[in-house]
Amino acid sequence: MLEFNFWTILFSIINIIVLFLFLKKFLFGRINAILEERARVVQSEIDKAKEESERAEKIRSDYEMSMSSAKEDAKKIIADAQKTANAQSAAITHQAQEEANRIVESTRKELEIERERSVASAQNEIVSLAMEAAQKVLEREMDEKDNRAIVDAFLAEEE
Amino acid sequence: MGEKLVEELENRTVFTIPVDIPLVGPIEIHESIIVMWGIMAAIMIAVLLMTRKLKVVPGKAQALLEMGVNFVYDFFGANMGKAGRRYVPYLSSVLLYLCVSNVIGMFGFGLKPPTKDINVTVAFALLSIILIEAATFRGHGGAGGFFKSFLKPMPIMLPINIMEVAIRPLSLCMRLFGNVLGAFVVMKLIEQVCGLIVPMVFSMYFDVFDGAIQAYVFVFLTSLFIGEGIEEENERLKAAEKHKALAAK
Repeated sequence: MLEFNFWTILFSIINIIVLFLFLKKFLFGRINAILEERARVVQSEIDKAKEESERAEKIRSDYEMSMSSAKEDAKKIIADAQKTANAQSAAITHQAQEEANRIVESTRKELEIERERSVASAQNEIVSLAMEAAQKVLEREMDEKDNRAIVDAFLAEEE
Repeated sequence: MGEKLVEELENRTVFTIPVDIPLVGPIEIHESIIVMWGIMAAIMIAVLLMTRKLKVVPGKAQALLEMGVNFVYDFFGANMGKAGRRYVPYLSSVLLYLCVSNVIGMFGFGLKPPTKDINVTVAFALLSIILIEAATFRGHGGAGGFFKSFLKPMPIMLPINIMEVAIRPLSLCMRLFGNVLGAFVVMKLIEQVCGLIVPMVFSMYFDVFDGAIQAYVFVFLTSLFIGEGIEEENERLKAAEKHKALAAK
């Protein structure tokens, strides 16, 4: 029962070592390899997801930046347009005012000229009428009654 | 009755290879070695079948296997820390081997647990103490630290520490051998008193429970001793990790 046997001890040691090497290679080696592989896959998935979200974030910020710059551009364009419109309307108003002034001026001038001309022509008429009347008076010696008739006739003629 | 028991207890030589080697004589193959070979073959075939098609996304069988592997890493990790990870495959192999060896008696067919042969437990204990001392040597980073470790925790402990090198494997070997042998004897006696059903009930305790407990105790103590030996290495590792974490910040 308690006999020591060299061969049994030796073979037992060999058996244990063989089983250990076998399990190390085929059980622990394989399982650990697959666990590492899994950890690697998971890590790469996480990295990929992180990259994706970073890219999405970048796109978002780009979009926001372009949006805000577009808004600013639009504001500037509107302000420019307003300024231009204001300037144009001011110019047009000014021009119209000038035109109106010019027209008023010229009309006044024309009226003046017309008036002067009509005054002149009336003067001429009066002068010639007076001359005619004087002539008629000189030509015929007549009485008061006659004179009266003459003047009336003259005036009727003139009318 | 007594004669039969004595006969059962004997370590029979199954065959002898008549090569006379000086000092140790012809090569004898004992019954326990044959049973060990059988257990090894069964374990190897089972492992090969289970690890045949491992996938990144595991199936049920693979998940169970991975759980088992994770369990031994956690179990031994509790005793040995991070530096002890490299000793886990050996200790797990021994655990599996001892578990199967200790409970093999319950399967009948005249199978006797190989661990009831003291030569087998001597082999296990020898390998354990070699591993413990090698791990301690490595853990102290060389011969200087290793020999200094015999003066710890105080120089007066030197004789006790030296004796421990012999006592540890002796106790490991004898505890395992004594328990399995005791269980074996009790079971044989019960079988002789009543051969039906009753031995099955007792076999649950003496073969399965005691056998598993003894296998557990054997590897647990071995890992505990290793953990003691590599304590400094673990502390160094932890300090290095902390340093690394700080540097990373």
